[in-house]
Amino acid sequence: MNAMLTGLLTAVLTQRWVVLAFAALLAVAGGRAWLQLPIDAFPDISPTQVKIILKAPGMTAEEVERLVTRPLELALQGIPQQRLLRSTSKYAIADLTVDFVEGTPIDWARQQVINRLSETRAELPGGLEGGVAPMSTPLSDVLMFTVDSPTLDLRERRQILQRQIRPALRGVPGVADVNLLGGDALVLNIAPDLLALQSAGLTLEELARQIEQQNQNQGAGRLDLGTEAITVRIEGQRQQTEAVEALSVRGSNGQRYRLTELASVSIDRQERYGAVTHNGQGEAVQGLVIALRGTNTGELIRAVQQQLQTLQPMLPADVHINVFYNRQQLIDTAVGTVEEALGLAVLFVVLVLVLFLGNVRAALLVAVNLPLAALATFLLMRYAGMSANLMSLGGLVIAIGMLVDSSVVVVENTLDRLATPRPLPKLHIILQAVKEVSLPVISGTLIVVIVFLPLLTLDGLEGKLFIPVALTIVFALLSSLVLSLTLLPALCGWLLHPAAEQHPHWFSLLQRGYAAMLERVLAHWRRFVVSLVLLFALSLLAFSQLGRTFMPTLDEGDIMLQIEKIPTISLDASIALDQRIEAELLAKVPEIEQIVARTGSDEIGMDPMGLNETDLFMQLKPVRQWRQPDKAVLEAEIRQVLQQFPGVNFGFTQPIDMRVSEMLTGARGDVAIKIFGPDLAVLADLAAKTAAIVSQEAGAVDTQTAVTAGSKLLNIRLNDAATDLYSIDSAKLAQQVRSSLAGIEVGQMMDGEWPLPLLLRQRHEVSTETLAQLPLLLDGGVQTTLGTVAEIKRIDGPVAISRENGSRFALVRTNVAGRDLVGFVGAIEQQLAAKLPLPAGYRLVFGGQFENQQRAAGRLLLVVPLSLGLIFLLLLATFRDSKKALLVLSNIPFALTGGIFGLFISGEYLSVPASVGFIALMGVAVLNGVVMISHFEDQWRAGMPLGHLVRAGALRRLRPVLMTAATALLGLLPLLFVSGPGSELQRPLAVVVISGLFSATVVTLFLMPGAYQWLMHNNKARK
Amino acid sequence: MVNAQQQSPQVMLTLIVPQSLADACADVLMQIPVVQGFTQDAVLGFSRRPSAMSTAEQVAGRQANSRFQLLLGEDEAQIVLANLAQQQLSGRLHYELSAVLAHGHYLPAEVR
Repeated sequence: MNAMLTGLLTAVLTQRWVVLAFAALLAVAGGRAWLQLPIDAFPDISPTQVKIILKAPGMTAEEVERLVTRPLELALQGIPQQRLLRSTSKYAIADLTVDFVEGTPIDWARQQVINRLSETRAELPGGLEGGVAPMSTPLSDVLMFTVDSPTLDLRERRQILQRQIRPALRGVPGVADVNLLGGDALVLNIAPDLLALQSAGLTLEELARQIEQQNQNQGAGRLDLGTEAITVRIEGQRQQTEAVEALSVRGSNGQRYRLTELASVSIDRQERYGAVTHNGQGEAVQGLVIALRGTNTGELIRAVQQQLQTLQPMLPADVHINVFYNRQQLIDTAVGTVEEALGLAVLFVVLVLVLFLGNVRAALLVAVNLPLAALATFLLMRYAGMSANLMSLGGLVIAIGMLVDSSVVVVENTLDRLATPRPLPKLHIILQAVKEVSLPVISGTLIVVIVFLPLLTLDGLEGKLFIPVALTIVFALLSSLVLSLTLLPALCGWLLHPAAEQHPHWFSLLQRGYAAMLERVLAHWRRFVVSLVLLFALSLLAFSQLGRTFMPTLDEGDIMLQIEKIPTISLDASIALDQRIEAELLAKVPEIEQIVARTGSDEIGMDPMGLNETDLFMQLKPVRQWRQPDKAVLEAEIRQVLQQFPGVNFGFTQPIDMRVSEMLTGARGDVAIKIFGPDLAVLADLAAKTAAIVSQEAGAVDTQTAVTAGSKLLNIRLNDAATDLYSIDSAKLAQQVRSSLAGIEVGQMMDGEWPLPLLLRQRHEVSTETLAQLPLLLDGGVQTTLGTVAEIKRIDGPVAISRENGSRFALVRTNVAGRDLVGFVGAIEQQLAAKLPLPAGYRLVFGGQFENQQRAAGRLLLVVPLSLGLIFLLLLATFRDSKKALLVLSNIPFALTGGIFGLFISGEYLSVPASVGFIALMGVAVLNGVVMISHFEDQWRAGMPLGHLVRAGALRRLRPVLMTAATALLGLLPLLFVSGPGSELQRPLAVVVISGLFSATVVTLFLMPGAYQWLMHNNKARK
Repeated sequence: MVNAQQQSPQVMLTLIVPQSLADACADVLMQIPVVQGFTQDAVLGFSRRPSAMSTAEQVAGRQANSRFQLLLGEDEAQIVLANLAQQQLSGRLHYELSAVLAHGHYLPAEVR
């Protein structure tokens, strides 16, 4: 190893120009990589997941569960690599989600599900529509806009969106689709006159059949014309309303009728399953740009905005595209937060270097490592297929303080060697200086790298968030190490000269103070060790009192509300309620810029919400315009407004957070309590009682149960007498009734390039009271009413049935405020065990963020000791002495003491970011210990007396130890003060490392010398 | 016949230090003005004093050392030894002085 290092350093110092050239190449390649890196706000946290959405017209939730969901679950359960299978059965919708284990290729997973679905399709009821849902991630929704116009109505605006804007945006590379929400979908409504049909001897079915048959284009084959071939086709499809009106219909008596004689034809709107409202001032039309998985979001949004600008002149003059959500803003803010922290960190680090080294040239030499290591990191990120986002760039910010450690040690030692006048070649002195510290620097860096390895084993959401952090730190540290041992010695050869080193005056004073304090510590060694042990014990006590949580919620800037109304609410009533809520919010909360709310289903079918479900998006004004710059205060005000509306369940979320929760567990919230069992009524009762108990617990906020019961149906059943008397069956009855409500599709008319559905739909007002009087036209021209042939009954049923891994469950969810998550769950676990005994066959499971916390904590408890073991082996290889290896490791518990007190005093919880901070702290503590003990060992081997080497050695290492601590500390200081997305994740980490560095430095400077002296005395005595 | 250039009577100063002190020893020698040059090679040594060897060296049975050989005049050799005695590494250094019967090098043919 020594020979290899000598060889490398000799080559570097001999071929300095080559090294410089490589560094320049690295800078260029790194800069290019930065420009090519996909940029987004967050890493892609979507699991490998495949969704099936099937529409089952006319089926109740229970029928959907029995006939569609359960057979499908049975078929899907055998797929390998499956982690979780959950489903929701609602009226006419079956929604199944299959989660696969981490690392399963998405294409393979989708194919498996598609295969199973095809195999099972024959067993499922006929008439099902839909299948595997489009591939999406929580980051897919990148841009949302409304199409506004003071003069155009809802239909016209939807048409503009559908026929002009959507096709233009779908052509932009990276756009998967553009979803349409709200507005009226147009149809050409054919409203039959039953009397006219009766006199023509036609039924509705016959009319529908004739319209469909006549309104078709079909290919007939091919004819040869000489050497050419000509296609023959039959044209029947109508292209204008007049042409449809003129369709010829043959009556039962053979007479021909124009369609207008039997029905009225007009443009109308399709039955709606969703709507969009805007600022409480009426309905709106919304477009949602969906990005392809893995796209460079920043580039995509710019291209989409460019396209919208190009499109604007072609739209009617008063049409305005109102973008109310643009992911680019979050990206800019998130990246801006990191850039701000990075910039400040670099500035602080350079100041520290100048202050300690007293030599601007040397300080700049060390600082050169920073941008080059960052550029090398970007290059490695590009090769690793990573994106630049809050987490990966956050890792770089965390690493900034540690990046300079290796270069500080190298340059500092070189300065020290050059300061002693010796008649030796300068390059030789530099070689010796670098060689002296290269092994400790390498092992120190590898130790810090190993310390971060446990993060690479994290699973789930925390893995997707923190693996980029760990990888970036590892890339940055390794890059810095290589540069410290190659470029830096080469630059030292040019820029540093033998000169008497002048320590800054303040540092000389510090040295004298340290020497005196060290003397006192060594003189009262036992007392010092006892105090440290007592402090450690106290910190363990503080640790036991620390609250535990998973991680702070990333602030995306905007606020969303997920609102649930009574299950039977009509679309119009739902829209009216949404508008009242919007108006009230805008009046009471001036921080809201605008509100766009979406109720019910979207066109593509990616998010089949019910008519009673609304996602309400609030675009906020810039923070500087708020009355108080505190989102929690804002949420409290919004909560007060919503509480004025009884019967409305609501919960706060954010755009990406909402998608993540839906993808990960299907349940949003800090704590999701799932009650598993067979009976829906029992489950609903248990859920209500659980919610009541949980809401009483301190810290519970927005506690609610998912609405499962309360669906009302009008069930129509043919009389036995009717089937005997009339030529009617259930299928014909369904068609007759449908023709009065939703309508029957009888083909399409081409409206220019666009197909317009033809809908056979009677025009009469139908209500629950008048339904029995609904006229029916049966075979043979018989006209009767619905009440005559069928029994109409109102029945109640479940709104939705949720299942997980084949078992039904009811959900209670709650958020936690002002209290740690783990403590809260512990308390409610006790309460529920005492107050809510579960019947046989029922069980309770805690999920949500709590589940994530348990998983992350369990994994870290397992792998951190493993990495400590690896570090021990590395130390053993460095020192070849297990006692010295243990001596360095003993730095760790005392270093952690400071971190624990820091968390305790600041009131922060122990979370995943804080745990990452402890991991970083362990690395820095061990690194400093290695630097100190290595130097002692060198002096011992050189024959220096023990007492002298400990004092002189500690004094000699004072500056590099203080510098590495100061650079690490100041590198992280900006994270305490920046605000914006991501800062809430990095603050706990910064608190731990900064406070821990104080105790780690004390331990290195005072414990290590004394402990080494004690160890070597003991060894000597034993010999 | 090849002419050889004869030198005045000299001693061979042999220094043996542990490999870990080789660089330090080389640095010291390079700074002593009377040292015009030296050769250095890696050697293995054995000692019956087990405490002189690390555990790994005890396992191997031999110690990794570095040997320096300097051709000096007798007075010069004493200057070098005095200088080395003041260094920290002197406690780990073994030296031998031996008489050199003859030494020299061959001149290039053109010079003859």
